[in-house]
Amino acid sequence: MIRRAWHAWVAWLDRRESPTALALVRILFAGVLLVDYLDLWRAGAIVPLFTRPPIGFAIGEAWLSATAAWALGAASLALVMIGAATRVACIGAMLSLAAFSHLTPDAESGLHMLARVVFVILALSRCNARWSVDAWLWRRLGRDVPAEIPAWPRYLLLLQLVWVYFSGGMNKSAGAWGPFGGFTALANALSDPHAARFAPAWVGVIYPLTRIATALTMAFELGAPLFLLAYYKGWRVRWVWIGLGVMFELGIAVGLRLGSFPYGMLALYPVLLYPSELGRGRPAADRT
Amino acid sequence: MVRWPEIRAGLIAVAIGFGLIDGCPLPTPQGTPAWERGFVEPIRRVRDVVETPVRWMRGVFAVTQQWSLYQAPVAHRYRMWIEGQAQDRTWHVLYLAGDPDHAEDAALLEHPRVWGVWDPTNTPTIEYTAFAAWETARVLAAHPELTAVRIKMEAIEIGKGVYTPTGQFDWPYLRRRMPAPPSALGPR
Repeated sequence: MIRRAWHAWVAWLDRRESPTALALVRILFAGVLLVDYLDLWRAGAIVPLFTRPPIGFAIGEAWLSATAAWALGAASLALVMIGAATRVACIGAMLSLAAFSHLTPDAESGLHMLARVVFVILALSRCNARWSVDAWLWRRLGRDVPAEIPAWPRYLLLLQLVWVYFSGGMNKSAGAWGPFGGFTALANALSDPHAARFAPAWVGVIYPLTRIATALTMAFELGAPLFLLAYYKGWRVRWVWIGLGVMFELGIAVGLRLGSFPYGMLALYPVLLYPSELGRGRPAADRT
Repeated sequence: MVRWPEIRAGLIAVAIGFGLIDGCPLPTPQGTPAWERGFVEPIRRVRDVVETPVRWMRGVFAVTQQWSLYQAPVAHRYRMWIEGQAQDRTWHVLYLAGDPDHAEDAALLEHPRVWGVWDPTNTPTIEYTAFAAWETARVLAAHPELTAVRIKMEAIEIGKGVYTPTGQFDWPYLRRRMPAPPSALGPR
């Protein structure tokens, strides 16, 4: 039994598939973070945010200065997005994000921590086998560009994304997220003068809807493992979970000032689809 | 003979295993209720021992598998005020969170990365004092007419689309303009 499970595990991780999903994630995810970096520069926030007093208000130490970490990150993210020297660039982006985290821990969202995991997985993958400078160069040099790549990095990203939501749901300890707090969490967030994008008067008008949305958010996050089951079984009901996730992230993007977080999360959603749903895979190879 | 796919599958299984152990949803030591300590603390100790081989990753790469996404949007929140004191000792509001009529420096203060540095939970952030020192110095430099600048967090209660001030201000930070040194007063 254990031997059979082990062989199934090895075979599952040895599967190959179209590079479309990972190429999309590479382009979209790095693109979102590149905009995040450029926005830091536009706001003039790089030096104050990541330099120690009296020049700025960072509290930690890192192996790179604020400007060097930003330059490394921006250059690496641009390279990842276009797929040039992709593996090295992924590690550069990860190191830049880690330096920022060490300098000013509260200046990052969950997306930036997630990015440090995502870029390591992308560095180990063949996400540059499509729509990339690397692939173009390989063709010019007469080297083979694989039409199919190992699927395990996408599986790992899928598991990571599902775990982020499930863990986020388990750690939502405040009563406002549950029935004993009246499912008021989203109404509170949308009325918070620090976080809300708009004046809160409109929240009172749709107050019952915000409570339903809070309950749906918890159902979405705590129901994340069920998505894995639906994915494995090929049930179409998994689209309900994906749809809830898209609405959840778009709701955050519209109602709250959380920066690149919702866009970065959505940029990972291609890994939730079967390769055939992205138009270039083999339907028979989708499941399991 | 063990082949590469088997080695890779083993390494991935180990990585997932460590991730699940790290992601075990335990409350912080300070946030653990007394009645839970009897079983939470032994689990935490076991987790810490098991994680020993990979603990360095958390320190170097600042990663964990415990995700806290918008953990506690509670009704008891705060609203940041930045005020400047004029020569006649009256205080004027320069920035008030959520008030478009008092939005000096809002583009920087409300930038999603900067916002996280001063937005408190039930305690101020670890960067708050450094931020307040920097911001008050910046405002004084931009406003030569001011004699002092202060930052404070007003406690508010949120309910059904309105927030109500409680009249309580927490974590005030005050910076007064230092008197000019004699050499800066010009020729006698």
